[in-house]
Amino acid sequence: MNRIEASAHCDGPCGVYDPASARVAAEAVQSMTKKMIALEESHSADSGTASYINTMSRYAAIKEEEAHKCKEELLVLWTDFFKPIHLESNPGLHDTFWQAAKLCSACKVEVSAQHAQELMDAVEAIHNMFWAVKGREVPWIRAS
Amino acid sequence: MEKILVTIRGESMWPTLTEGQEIVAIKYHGQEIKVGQIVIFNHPFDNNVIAVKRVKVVDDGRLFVEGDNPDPTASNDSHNFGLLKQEFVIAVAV
Repeated sequence: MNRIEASAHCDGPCGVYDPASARVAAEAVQSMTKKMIALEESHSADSGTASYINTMSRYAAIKEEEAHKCKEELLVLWTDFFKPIHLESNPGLHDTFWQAAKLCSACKVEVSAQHAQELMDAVEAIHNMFWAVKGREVPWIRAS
Repeated sequence: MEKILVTIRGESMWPTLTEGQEIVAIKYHGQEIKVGQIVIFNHPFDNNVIAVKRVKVVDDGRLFVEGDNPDPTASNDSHNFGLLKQEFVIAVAV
């Protein structure tokens, strides 16, 4: 009997997805959060100067932008990459993504080192789920 | 009736067919294709891909084929490439 393989793949090429982009954005959020806290602690006497306000504003703007980018990247993974079958091996998938997206929002509105770290932890959990589904061992790395 | 052993790759036919599952199909010789049957066919937009989907509609000899996976992003099928000419069909699952 002849043998062939038949593709039953998804709408987009699976290879285009990678949680690394969410990780980079989350790292930027954490980095900006740390810089904002450090600036306030070490230069509060200069808080009325233009250079202080400029520096703090830039940190806040980048934090806002990267937190939103992180949320977008996570939502694409959640709604496009992951499929109903993946709930069998990851029953907590929806809650993990929902909590991660909420943490993106929290990091936008707050200056919270705790929530920035929790966002990194959530992205790491999603990294692990993603590569387990793909059947590959990809170590969790950080740029910073 | 020549039989073909087909190995499934991907999850667009989940939960009916899953990754790595093997099914037997009858080589297509112009026999009647009915709604509900699973067909194996050359992808109309990609010569390198042999795909598997279920026939949902037969329209004037052309087929509207769809994955069984309920996720709308899980299947590259007639929602993307439109009605399938029967000349693309390779085999029909038993």
